[in-house]
Amino acid sequence: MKRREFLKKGFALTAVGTTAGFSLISLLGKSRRLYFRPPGALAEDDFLAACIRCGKCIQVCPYNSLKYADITDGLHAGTPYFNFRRTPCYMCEDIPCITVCPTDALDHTLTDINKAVMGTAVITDREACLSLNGLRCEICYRACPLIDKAITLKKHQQTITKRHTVFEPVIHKDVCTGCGICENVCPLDETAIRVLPSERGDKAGHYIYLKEQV
Amino acid sequence: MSGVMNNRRRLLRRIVQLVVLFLLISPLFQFSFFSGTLISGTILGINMVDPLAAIDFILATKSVYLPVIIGAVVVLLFYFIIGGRSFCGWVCPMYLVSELIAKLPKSWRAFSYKPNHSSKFWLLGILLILSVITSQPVFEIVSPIGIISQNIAMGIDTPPKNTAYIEENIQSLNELGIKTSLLPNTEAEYVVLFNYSLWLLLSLVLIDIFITRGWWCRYTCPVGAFYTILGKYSPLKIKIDHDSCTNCGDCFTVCLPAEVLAAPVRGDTAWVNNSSCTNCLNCVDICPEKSLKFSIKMAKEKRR
Repeated sequence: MKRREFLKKGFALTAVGTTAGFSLISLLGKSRRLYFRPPGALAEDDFLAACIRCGKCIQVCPYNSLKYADITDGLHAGTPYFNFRRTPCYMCEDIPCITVCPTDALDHTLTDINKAVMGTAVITDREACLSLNGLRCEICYRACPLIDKAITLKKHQQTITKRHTVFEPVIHKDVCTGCGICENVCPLDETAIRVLPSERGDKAGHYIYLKEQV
Repeated sequence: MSGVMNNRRRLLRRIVQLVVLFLLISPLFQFSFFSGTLISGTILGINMVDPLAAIDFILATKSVYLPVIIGAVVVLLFYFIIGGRSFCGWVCPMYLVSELIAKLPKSWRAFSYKPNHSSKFWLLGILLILSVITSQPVFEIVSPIGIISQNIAMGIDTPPKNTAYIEENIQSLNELGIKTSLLPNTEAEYVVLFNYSLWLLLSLVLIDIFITRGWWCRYTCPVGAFYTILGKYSPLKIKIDHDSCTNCGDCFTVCLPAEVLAAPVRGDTAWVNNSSCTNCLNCVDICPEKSLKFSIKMAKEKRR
């Protein structure tokens, strides 16, 4: 009888300890991932304060683009985020995710999806980018919902044959919404174009200085 | 147990609990009368926000946003009228889980630990203070009610819902001569998503099974604590008729927060004044003498 009691207690402690311990460790562990929020989301800290983790935006998204962060994402658990490589934001004109948000975590004054800023696309792997290698890829440019505005093609001479043209996709930060379609459609195994937080890539003063010199 | 048990009210409550579960999964079946979760839902266009989530929101953002307040007041008024913890007894899926666990044999418990009844109020206070300090709605991050309703509502990866919209997009892209195979597949399958936050839920369930029955709902849940405070002056309460009560104790066997019955059955009061009562009406069902009744408590009767 004593052994049975011991086994029972041991089993209960192991079961409770494993599950509770796993939950606590994953909650308090710091996750270093970048989270791309729905259109109109406040700055990350304000967003985390205002988002009550109700999941309405995730549920309403017609493309199931939004996913909710798991407990393994630490204190981000329950918040919505995009995985652009899986499903990007297809930029619905009526922005249902903002309409359903019960709080102001998603800015209700944003009515034009083209003015949303979820991030900014950046060519992160210039060596791998097919277009920059002189191939006629330009898939990101073609797929961009703001074609010729957010991504334009800059033509310059290809250096290998000296006869052909490189069509370089150039992303314009002030227009790009960070919808992630370019990241999604990039044909490389590891995408060469990625959405990064829009705070990055700010034109520094010296760039403008250079422009003025010319 | 003595007397013939009348299960009518319990059956009604089970139906309501199942209807809530159905409402949560209804958007998967393209119904549009309900959307959202138990943290914030919209039923027939009426926006509701869990009052505790609304308070957390105000404390975390240190600002007031009117639609949140309105949504919370709708819920507050509703549960004030029908009795604060009616939410627990009739709506919350965690309480259903707790009730089912209560049916498991008592011998499964490896430890006998009884927390203090005031611990849920302490936890509520600590969480609210933490929300102010960390500027995050702390309880909503770990809320098992949120986790369980999110997992019911969104635990299945569905094919894209708005197929007309997608087809329109594909068509316009086709006209532009753009390859469309990269757009979402409208015939995607339903896939069950595994979510690690279910481990948190599992740990609560295991504590319920092996250590303290009703550990979460009776002693810990901050939402329950909040509704207990709200229900203090609710007009709808259980009344006991001391003349017909035989002190058989049947009601204690079916009550999850059984401590609420102690004072009225002893004869101290005519009403179940402890608002930890979830108005589940199990006691009304089981009472062989029909001494217990669900009735309206008027203000002048408050003293008794």
